[in-house]
Amino acid sequence: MQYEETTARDMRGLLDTGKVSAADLLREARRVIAEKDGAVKAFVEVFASADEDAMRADTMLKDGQMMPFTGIPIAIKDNICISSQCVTAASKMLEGFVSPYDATVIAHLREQGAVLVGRTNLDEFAMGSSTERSMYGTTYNPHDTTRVSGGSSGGSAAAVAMGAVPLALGSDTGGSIRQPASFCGVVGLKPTYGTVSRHGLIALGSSLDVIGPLGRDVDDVQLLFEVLRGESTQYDSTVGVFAEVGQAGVPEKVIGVPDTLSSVGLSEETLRAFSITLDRMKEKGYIVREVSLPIMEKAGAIYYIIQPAEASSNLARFDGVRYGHHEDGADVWGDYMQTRSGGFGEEVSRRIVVGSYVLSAGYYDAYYKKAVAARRAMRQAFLEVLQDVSVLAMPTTLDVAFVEGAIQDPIAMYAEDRLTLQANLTGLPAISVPMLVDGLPRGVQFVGGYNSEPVLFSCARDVA
Amino acid sequence: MCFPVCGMYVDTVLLSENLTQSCTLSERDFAVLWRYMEEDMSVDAVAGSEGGVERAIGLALLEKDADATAQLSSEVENILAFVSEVQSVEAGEVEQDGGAVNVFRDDVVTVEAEKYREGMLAQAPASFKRWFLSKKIL
Repeated sequence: MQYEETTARDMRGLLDTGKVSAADLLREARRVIAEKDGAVKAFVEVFASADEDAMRADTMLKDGQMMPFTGIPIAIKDNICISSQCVTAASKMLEGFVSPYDATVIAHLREQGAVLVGRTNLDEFAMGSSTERSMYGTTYNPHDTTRVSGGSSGGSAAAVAMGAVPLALGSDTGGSIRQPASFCGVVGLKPTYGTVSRHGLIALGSSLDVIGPLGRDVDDVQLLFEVLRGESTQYDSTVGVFAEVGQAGVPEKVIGVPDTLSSVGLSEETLRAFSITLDRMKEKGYIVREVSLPIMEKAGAIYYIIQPAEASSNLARFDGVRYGHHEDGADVWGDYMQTRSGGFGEEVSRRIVVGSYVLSAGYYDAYYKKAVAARRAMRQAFLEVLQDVSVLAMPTTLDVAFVEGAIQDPIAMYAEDRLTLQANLTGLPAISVPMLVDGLPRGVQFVGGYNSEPVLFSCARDVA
Repeated sequence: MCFPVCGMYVDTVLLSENLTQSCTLSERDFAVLWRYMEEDMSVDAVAGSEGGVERAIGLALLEKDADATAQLSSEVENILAFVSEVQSVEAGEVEQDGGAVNVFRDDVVTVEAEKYREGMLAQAPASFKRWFLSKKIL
């Protein structure tokens, strides 16, 4: 077995036939981390407790209690709570904070007997597109360690790409699973908003955040999604009733390509790779049709009002009183201000100031209220188009992973998410899968109707 | 002068072991409280009365020196210019709907707060018995 290239399904077969144990797989995961993570820096902690997970999994296997992820090594983004483990969101604000409980997705994995290998790096509080803005430093791209891994789930994408784990959990608020998946050459799914519980995910933008899987191939990602999804009894926004796949009357195998793609700044190489990918899809029986979605281009303006507004509200809880970083001021307001000024990094500070601004009296109507209305218009436009096509297709990113430090301007960095924000604003599911072209990885993204993940998996499989 | 203690920040502040009791305020403290209530109990009073981005920095409860404030203000103004494109979206006729929400969930809080109390308090910068401790507000 070449561990680095083995899928979770193949590991399942090896475990079930007794050819390897969960402890063997964990040993392999740690070997790869020891060999490669010095250069990549995907993991911020490798759990000692993984030995107990592996022992428990091996006992389950011995007792014939096999489930899809019993004994499978999985990495977890460091903004998802795991009981008795540190969870920091890569922020000084939460340095040393130990989670008192498991996120719902972690509880699902524990029920399965999965082995939680470690926690992975991210941009601070998941605000970023490169995993450069982390208190732990940059996570590098395993395909070229002078380049970034993407973000904010860059650690999870890099952990899968370097072969340490077949699967990892990430979170996606504006493209944070799909963009690093594209940069690192792995598969990443942003599920329909509400299908996976957010309980135990450190909140960034509550109406946008979704937990999802990253993996070596589409089948593994689908398998993990099936385990993660489901209604949560906790206090969050899971959808209790899952609609039937797709929408009645929607044609099969019809791909819509937004007409705005030519003006968003795609590199020539990405356009060429996308064109080759579409040609291959046509050979497999797909019809490709251009669709009009002019509102797509406004996603950045809408998103960077709504997301900072929600972030400023969510991050108001970090006051140095209840948990995490604390700095002493002259009085209680001094405590708040010094704690927050010292605990938050530059990008987080920028976004909470923007959020405070757009929510403040005098600016609320012009910015936030307008953005909420524009978001509804975008959702309506996407749903109308998705009546006529089974999925929308577009490159996940404008180009390949960029060199560390190449993008300093915040607005230039925001452009990295230009093609991924729409799925979060509308709540629609989207998947990024590597395009089969030479050179550094580039992903193609499919966006479908609510609860159309099976359609997305089917399209993604046909890219291979 | 007696004044009932309001619910404001009551979960984070140790005033006494019985938070529902009335407490006695000095005339000076009463004046501070009254001014705070008159200002809609917002943090605007702390943020100061400046307009624009500098005020927002205060609303975000951040404290920056002059150079950092100038830098942050410039960056935020650029972002605000970028997002002002939202004004060009024609969205007036779009009706609000519920979207993907679970309308069947019982309206009950299921988080077992008691279960985590000890673990959370153990990580607080300062705590006393079953409360988080902060500096005096009033």
